[in-house]
Parts: sequence; structure tokens; C-alpha cells
Amino acid sequence: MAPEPALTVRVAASVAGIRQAAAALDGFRAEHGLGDQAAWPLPVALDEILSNIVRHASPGPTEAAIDVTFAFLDGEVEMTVSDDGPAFDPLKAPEPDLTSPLEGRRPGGLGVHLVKQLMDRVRYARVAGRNRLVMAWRVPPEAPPGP
Amino acid sequence: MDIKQEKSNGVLVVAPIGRVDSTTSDALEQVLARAFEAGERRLVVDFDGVSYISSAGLRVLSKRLRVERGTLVLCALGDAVRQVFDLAGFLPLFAVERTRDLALARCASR
Repeated sequence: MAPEPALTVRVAASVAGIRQAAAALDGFRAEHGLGDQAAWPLPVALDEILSNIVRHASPGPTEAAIDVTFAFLDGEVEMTVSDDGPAFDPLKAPEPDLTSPLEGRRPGGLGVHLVKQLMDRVRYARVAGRNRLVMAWRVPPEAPPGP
Repeated sequence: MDIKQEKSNGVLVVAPIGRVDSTTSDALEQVLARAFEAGERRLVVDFDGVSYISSAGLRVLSKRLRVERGTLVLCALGDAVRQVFDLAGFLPLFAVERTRDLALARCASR
């Protein structure tokens, strides 16, 4: 049976939720033969975006939900992350300072910087009152079948 | 993530196994903080068993760099780990060696 081209999970905006989403991505990658050796940018980028959302989630009576969709089409993996938080475009965050001594560096911005570097395309939209971030990553042609 | 610890000639080697990300970096932070409290001042973090690291892991290590007076040497960075350190501009901040033996030698010489 051919692997499912897309998978969606809904997780809580919490560390447990991040773990669940990471496990879902592991399963999705395994189904499509995308091992750590070549495809490690996917879990790293997902961790950056989800931990950002969890860090900025305002505590409320109900835990906010994050929807994560993984799709694999034409040699490209697309991860879509949607959340109910206040409108926030992470791509507009200031670039981190990567050259000065550590003490002088502003905290933050590092995760999003990594996502922009590691993914081939990243775009943000506010859709129906939700934040939606789409990250696309093209499987490198020389990628060996990973473990 | 599992974290192995081993003492070798007065140097503590901390070797995380698996992924160092926002869900596991707290555990690494605790191990490093406890080691420091216990008086360990020569530390090697061995990345041989680490499949990848995210910025949460980088933050734990850079925090150690700020608070510790002592020696911290990183070793055995695989391609994925090295690339994240590099993209974050963190490589020049750390003492990095290719192998654990080289890292231990560097620690011992200080």
C-alpha cells in the first residue's frame, strides 16, 4: 500500500504537544524513507516553530491547540503549522546578531533564523483568525536512504 | 534522550544520546548544572550519539559558557549538529574537537 501523502495531527500548545507532533513527524518520515541523515532539517524546523508558539501561548482556561500537517508531494515535504494565538508573523522578527560576543547578543530570533536557513520556502498567513506557517523542504537529490 | 556521563582523568564527559531539542534540552541543562554544582570544572560534551540539535540545545550550551568558570570542550559533532552550530554563528564561541580523545587532551592541558 502506498504511504499516505498527507497527515494531520492536533496537539496541545505544550511540551507534551511538541513531543506528540515530533513523534507524528517521525512516523511520517519513516513511511516516506526520510531518515535523519538527510531529513534532519524537518524535525529541527518543526521544533523551532512549535516551541516558539508554546513560549508565547498565553495561559488560559483551555489549552490552545496547534494543527500540524505533513505532506509529501513531488519530492517536497510541506509542513503546515496553524494555531489560535494572537496574530504573529515569526518571519518579521528581527534577525539575530550572529557575530558579536555572546554577552552582547540579543536573545531570541535564533530559532526562526534557523528555520529560514534550513527550509527552502517559508511563508506566513493569517487565515480565519489563525496563524498559519507553511514550511517547504525539498529532498536533496543525493540524499541516501537514511536509517 | 538518554544522557551518559563518564569521568576520565578529572574530566567529566557528558554524552547525550538522541535529539537535543526543546523537549529534551531541560534534561541536558540539569545534568550540566548539577555537574557544576558538584564542583566539576572540566567538561566535555560528546555529540557522537546526537542525531540533531535545535536552538533550545544551543541555548543550554551557551548558557554554560556564560556562567561557568572552567573548561568546556565539545566534540564529535556530526554534520547535522555542526551545521546548526554554524548557521547560528555558534562555532567560533566554543572549543570544538573532532574526537573525544582530542577533547579530553585539550581539557587536561588547561
